[in-house]
Amino acid sequence: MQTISPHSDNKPFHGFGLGLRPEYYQTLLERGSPGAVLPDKTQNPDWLEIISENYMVDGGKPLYFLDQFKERYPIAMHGVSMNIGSVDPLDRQYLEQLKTLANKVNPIWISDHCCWTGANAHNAHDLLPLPYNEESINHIAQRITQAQNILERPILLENLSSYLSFKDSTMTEWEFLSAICEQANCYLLLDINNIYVSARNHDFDPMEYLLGVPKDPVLQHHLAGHADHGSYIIDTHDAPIVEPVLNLYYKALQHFGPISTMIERDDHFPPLEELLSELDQVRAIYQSSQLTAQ
Amino acid sequence: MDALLQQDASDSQQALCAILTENGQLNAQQRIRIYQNAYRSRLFSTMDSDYPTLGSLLGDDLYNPLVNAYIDQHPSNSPSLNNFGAKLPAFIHTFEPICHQDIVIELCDFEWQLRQTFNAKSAKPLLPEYLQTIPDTNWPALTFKFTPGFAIKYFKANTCEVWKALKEGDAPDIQVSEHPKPWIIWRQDLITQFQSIETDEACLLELIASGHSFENLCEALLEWWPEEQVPGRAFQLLQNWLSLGLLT
Repeated sequence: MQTISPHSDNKPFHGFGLGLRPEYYQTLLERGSPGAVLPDKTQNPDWLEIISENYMVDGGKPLYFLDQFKERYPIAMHGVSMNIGSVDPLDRQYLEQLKTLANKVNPIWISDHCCWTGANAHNAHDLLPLPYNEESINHIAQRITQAQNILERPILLENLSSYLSFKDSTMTEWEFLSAICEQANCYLLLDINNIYVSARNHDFDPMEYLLGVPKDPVLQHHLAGHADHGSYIIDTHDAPIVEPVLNLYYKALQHFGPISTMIERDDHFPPLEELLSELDQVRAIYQSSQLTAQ
Repeated sequence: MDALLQQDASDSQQALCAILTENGQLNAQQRIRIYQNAYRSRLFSTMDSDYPTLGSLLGDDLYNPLVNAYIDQHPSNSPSLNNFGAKLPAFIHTFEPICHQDIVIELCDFEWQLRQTFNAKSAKPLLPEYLQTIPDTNWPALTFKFTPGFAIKYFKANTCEVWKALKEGDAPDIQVSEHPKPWIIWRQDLITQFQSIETDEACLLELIASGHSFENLCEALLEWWPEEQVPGRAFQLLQNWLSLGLLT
């Protein structure tokens, strides 16, 4: 099995990336071409994250563009369908297809979510939460080990935005994730916006979450916008990142050190320059956090 | 899982509420409703993207019940949403009151085919020069293969014109004839193409699809053309198919 690096300070740091979406294919390719003159003051992303399932197709435009992008940018593969928390058997065919894609893309890493997405062969296409208890830890850790064996590489597990919680939970989400990482020897993709969203929806302190996660397994951060409905927040990825999330990100950087970070945008797509300008703002927060890091 | 996704699963929803924590400003039912709304909204978006003009043709009063019924009857059983809409062309045949409207059925079929062709595997098409490389003795037994994503469709309505008008936000002028006309759909590089074709051409393309040889194609052309014109017509069609990139 390939390893990214042992759980240690020696983490790969890829800088600041964007979610690759068809809306930005053309502009990103032009900007990423060798010798291209950038049309504005924004920097190009350092790396790109793809939604793996969008490229698990026979051919056509997605794979054509993916071939171009992998020549120009490091690529991370981010999935939404591993269904790692389900009681259905692991979908071996899905994992084999994922591995085939990974062999083609040679990604910096593969990630998916700490959730279940379906049961009884019915797929919800949503990231559904689990009870946070020992039984779930053992169940998920064993399935991650299986998945990692098939993929022949470790995976990163992402924390969810969630809207409900279970009476059967016996621990916090951060204790739950920490235990899974230790037992399954996997890594963490810590989504800062998701921490903020869940903290508001479940009334916990997001700083307690950040400080409760072990530093070593954290390899990536997600940032995104959300829809604030007052009494609850929905993780929509359709708006700029709000200031409280950026503030939380600053504290995360101070705590975890340099962590590869990217912005997810999945709707209400602004011009690319606007998104790159937001990414530059994230870069500036990183630089500022490292000056004051303890 | 139904309790979390289906709005009418009331018994199982009560059972689900019983195992959920009551905290924050929302009760358990409101929290479940967030997932229910997200589920339906996600599948609706997928259908909107797979069938970009069907909703404009039908209007919300027909399109929304159609998609809702489809989601209920054909829940996704795949990790990917790529094929979620695949059964709509068949389902629409059963959905009153639109199941007898040729334009609706054909537009649905056409939009799904466009998607299939768009996502088909890439393949290098044969170039027109290929014909010069075939020895004379090989011509009679010669067979051909289409590039992935190629399809022949027969439309009674002016379906492709209606699709174009709807795509541009114009009001379509729908016309339906008694006899279906053949159309081909294929992909040239990354661009999905479609065009109407003649009846003899459609017949030959159908023969190619079922593995018939060049000799069989020429025999079939005798139905439309005098014998002396058959080789010329066959060669003209072949040249055209190669220049369009239909064969691999």
